[in-house]
Amino acid sequence: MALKIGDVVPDLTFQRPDGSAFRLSEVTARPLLLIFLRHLA
Amino acid sequence: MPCRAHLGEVSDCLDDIRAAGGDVLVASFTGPAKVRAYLERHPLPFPVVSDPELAAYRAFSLGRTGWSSFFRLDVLARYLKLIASGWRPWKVGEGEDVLQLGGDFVIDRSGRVAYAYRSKVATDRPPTRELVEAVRNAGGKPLRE
Repeated sequence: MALKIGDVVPDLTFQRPDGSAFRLSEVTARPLLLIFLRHLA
Repeated sequence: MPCRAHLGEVSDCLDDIRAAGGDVLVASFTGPAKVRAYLERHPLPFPVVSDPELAAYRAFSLGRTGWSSFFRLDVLARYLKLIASGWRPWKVGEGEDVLQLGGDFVIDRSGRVAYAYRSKVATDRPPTRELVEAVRNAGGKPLRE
């Protein structure tokens, strides 16, 4: 089901450029603009 | 618009986003090693993280476009305009899905979706003024108090 306005975002895990884990909760103390790329081109 | 062009526009309004109390995070399905190599050549003023398994893309219900969409007049016109301004396409990495679409979301302080924009075609991105406004409305500090 698509996340809708008002839905709580799950604490998703990404990878930093050095390969270490990065959790979304690390950066949600302030409003966050999260941009999903198509690709880096 | 292509992602690098969109990131350039967001970079240009980063001061406005931060003045509005917000931060920026960029997610890519490109693997971390390639992201690292890219950032060495093209540093960005905000963090870039990888989601090679597309788990976050799926969580945000980001879809895929079709090849035919690249031949839409508005999409072609956008690419031609960018090429005329000096933009050059990059070779897509092996195993990367050129048809995967992106999107822009604002998450508020309580961790809720405050704004959602899912791209419909490759060049489809929201205007940056709309993104700044969404950050401001999400509980960031207003530009004028």
